[in-house]
Amino acid sequence: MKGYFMTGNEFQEYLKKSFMILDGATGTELIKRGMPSGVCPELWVYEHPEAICDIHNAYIAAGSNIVYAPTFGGNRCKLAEFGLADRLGEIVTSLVKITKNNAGSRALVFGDIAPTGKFIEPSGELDFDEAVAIFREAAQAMKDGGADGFAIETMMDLQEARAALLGVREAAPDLPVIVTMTFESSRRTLTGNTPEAALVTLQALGADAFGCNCSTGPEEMAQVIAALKPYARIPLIAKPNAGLPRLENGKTCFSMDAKMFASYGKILADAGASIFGGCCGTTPEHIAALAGNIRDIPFQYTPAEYRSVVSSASRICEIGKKFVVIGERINPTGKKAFQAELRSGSLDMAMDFALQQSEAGAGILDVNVGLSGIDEKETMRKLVAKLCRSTGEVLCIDSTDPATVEAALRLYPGRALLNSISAEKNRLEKVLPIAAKYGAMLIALPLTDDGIPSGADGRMAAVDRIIAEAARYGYCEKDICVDALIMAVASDNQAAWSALEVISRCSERGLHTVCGLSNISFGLPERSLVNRTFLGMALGRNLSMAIANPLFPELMSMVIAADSLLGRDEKMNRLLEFSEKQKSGGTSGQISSQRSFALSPVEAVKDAVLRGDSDRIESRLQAALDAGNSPEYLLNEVMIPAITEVGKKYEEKKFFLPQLISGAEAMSRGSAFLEPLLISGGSQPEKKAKFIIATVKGDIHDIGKNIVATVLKNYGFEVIDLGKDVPPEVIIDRALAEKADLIGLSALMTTTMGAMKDTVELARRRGLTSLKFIVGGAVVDKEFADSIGAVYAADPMSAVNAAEALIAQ
Amino acid sequence: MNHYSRLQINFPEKAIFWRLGGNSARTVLDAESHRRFKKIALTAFEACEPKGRWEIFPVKEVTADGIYLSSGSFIAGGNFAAKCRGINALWCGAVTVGSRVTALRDEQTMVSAGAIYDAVAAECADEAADVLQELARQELLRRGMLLDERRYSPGYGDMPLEVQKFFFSTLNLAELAMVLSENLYIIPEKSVTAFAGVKTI
Repeated sequence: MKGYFMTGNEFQEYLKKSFMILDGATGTELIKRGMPSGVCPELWVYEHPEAICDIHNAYIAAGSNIVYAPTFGGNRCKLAEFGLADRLGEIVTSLVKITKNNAGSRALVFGDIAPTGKFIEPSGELDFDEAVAIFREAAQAMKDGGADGFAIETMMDLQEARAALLGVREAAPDLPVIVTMTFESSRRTLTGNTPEAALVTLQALGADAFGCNCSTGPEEMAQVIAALKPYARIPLIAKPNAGLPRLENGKTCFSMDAKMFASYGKILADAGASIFGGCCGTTPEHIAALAGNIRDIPFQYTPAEYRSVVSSASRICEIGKKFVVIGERINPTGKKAFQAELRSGSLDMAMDFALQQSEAGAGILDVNVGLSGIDEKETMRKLVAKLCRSTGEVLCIDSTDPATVEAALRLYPGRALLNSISAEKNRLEKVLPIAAKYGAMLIALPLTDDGIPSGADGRMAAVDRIIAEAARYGYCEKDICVDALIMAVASDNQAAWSALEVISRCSERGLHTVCGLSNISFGLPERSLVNRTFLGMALGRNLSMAIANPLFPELMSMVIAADSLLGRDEKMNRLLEFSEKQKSGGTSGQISSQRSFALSPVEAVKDAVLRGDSDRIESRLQAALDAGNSPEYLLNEVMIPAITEVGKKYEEKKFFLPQLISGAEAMSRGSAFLEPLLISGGSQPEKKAKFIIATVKGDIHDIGKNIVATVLKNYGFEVIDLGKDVPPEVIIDRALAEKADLIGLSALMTTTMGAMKDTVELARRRGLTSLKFIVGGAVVDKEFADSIGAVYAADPMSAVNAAEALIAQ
Repeated sequence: MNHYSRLQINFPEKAIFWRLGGNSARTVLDAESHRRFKKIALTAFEACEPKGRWEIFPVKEVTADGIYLSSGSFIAGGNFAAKCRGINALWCGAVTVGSRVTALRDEQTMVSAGAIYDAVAAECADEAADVLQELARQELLRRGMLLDERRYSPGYGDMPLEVQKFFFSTLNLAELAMVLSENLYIIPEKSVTAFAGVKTI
């Protein structure tokens, strides 16, 4: 293989026949050869070429088939840190030339492409297209220097790896590109990408090999490689550190010598790696020992069985493994409120739909923002970015507009499902190349330029045409999911049969299928029943996915049961989990809403306090009053016991803080609602005590104080909140004026705790010996409270308990 | 100076839940409450603008009272110094999530929402500090240096809050729109400054 031009395909063919050895660490080797700290490594090597030649000669002698040109930081962003961005072409091209001239025919030279040091949208600041351009520029300079291929390495963010791969492909479409990412011991990258999601995404995007470098030693890396193996259609790379740094005889060093490092060669190969190298702490000795061990291992390359997998940045969704519900809610069709939101530029409702569907068990979220009067492309781009930042869900991009499809697929940091490609000439010519460029999986809609074929034969012919066209772009049948194209039985009583026939025929051929479930019942009564019944029939024919509303519990429970029956739920774990959830009160919003409607008016009031439902407390109180309950009864016998139960649950840690505060807020709103009725009835509730609360002088942190004040009010205290940064004199003057019983002080800083002491002492100097103080805040503890003569409260309920104990004295 | 005008952090849902008193074994959230919590938390997360910078400074001597840097600066704090024996350099990092999230917190009419905003901002600042430190660890490893995973901040143990001034002057934190008040608290409120030891491999 040495010394001649190879395309990406030839590179992949070569890797089917032989292991390949990369080089080891470069940075530490350059330091050994005199590179000082703090300089630009690329410029230093440019000025001291003998150093890199020496290192590469050693690696080639050790057995490296590929050496990386010293262009790790050779991108515009990193060079700009040294004021060298404008010399990128000169430096990077020269570095590759130097490496090529030195390596000659002894080894291939790959341009080394590493992170820019900036985070990229949708989560970071750097525009994705700009990032692609930065990598394209660097790759072009490397290509100009004669690079045989590219090694995108040390990537911590899948989105940056995508940008780099697209940039390289745009500069050098035919040259081989390998990608390695850095996974922590948690088996995720720093930005949360899983190895499987990264592989699925980059493999679909056209990487010639994928794997890991840096961060861990070979032992942990073997586990990552093993996790990748079932999904890897391309060779896997292991380029680990020489173990982990440790202290030895007072010196910090890497834990593995060359022999021990090399002993992991077989373990890495058994895990599935076929390209090996070293990262931090490795030397030519490590590579020589590794290459020696690898030579003794019989070569065997078996790419994984082809799986139909889509991904987000942090998880994968395998189609065919279990039934997948594609959440249909993010679609403005027939949703006036959502349409109005989209027109106003808000994406809040879309986020709500995403969270609801995700919680209800959708495996993929369909995203459609096709609506007149909005910029579909821009709205789609913003929504995809928002969903990717805030959820880890796999997305199905649903649009008929090629520009919208491209904008979404380009930005989406995973392998998306595309809804859809039809057999219409325009879709095949315009959308298919876009889908292929970004590696999207396809939903094939059997629709032709003549319309919808009426029978299964016509639809299968359309499917075959789409598959044939897609094959020209490198797609295989496993990358395609056929839409059974369900029509309404209300207008065609054979519609269900036609769709079921398509599902059966696809299933016989091993093709995955999907359907827009609710279409079948359009125009009919009892739509939910009809939908579920059709789903049952389709599941029996091995339907793979449905675009449906996962908020219908009956539908989701049916899917879980069907997977159990069809052998897709190993050990019945999902069925058992579902059963447990049913016993404990259900999981979806619809279930909980239905439950509250079944409550009596009085129970509904209690439920509102327990759930902290401020929005419904007034209407529920009104309903309870209308049912003949007195305001006194509702306050004393319903709401107060409810808020007491909330406090108890908080103390038992069955509720967390927002539930405690929400309960208090609902209680407060309910009390205010009842107050005029109580006054007119002559039974205004008495306050337990007057409580002044403040954040002390010099401190501006008041969220904790606000929480305590809210909770105290609902336990019958009259709370006077003086705010934050309040001087001792103001607090004590007010206490005197109001004849307060208790004072609560909050401080978050060690530097402001002293103001608590000052306030207590001022009160004593003014003769307020019976005035009690409760103190709290992040830096305050019991010892400090005792030292100033106050009572310590660790949290809001402790403050309530302390206040009640003090007024009882 | 290693500067990040936008750090990418993951949504630290578990840490936020824990910070708000949640207990994974005991706390029960019905679907509606969970959705409400998550929506508020995600909105707060979107309002966080994590950024940070770090630098390392050669160490001259580590004593029982603190650390002398080659530049002549002294970092007081015996507890920290005791953990730093044998270090060659001191890593100094600073992150902030900006003031937008706390401004939105203060605008919340429901205290429960304010509490969630506050917890999200605090945990995101911690998460940003973790990310900054990991970025530094990887960068330093390539330079043949090992960054300690533990970090220390002014105000903890016996390290006085006055040490904050060192961060503001050496890291020029004004460029992150950070301000040190007279009482030595940092504005924006949800910010972290920290040291960690660096050893040469």
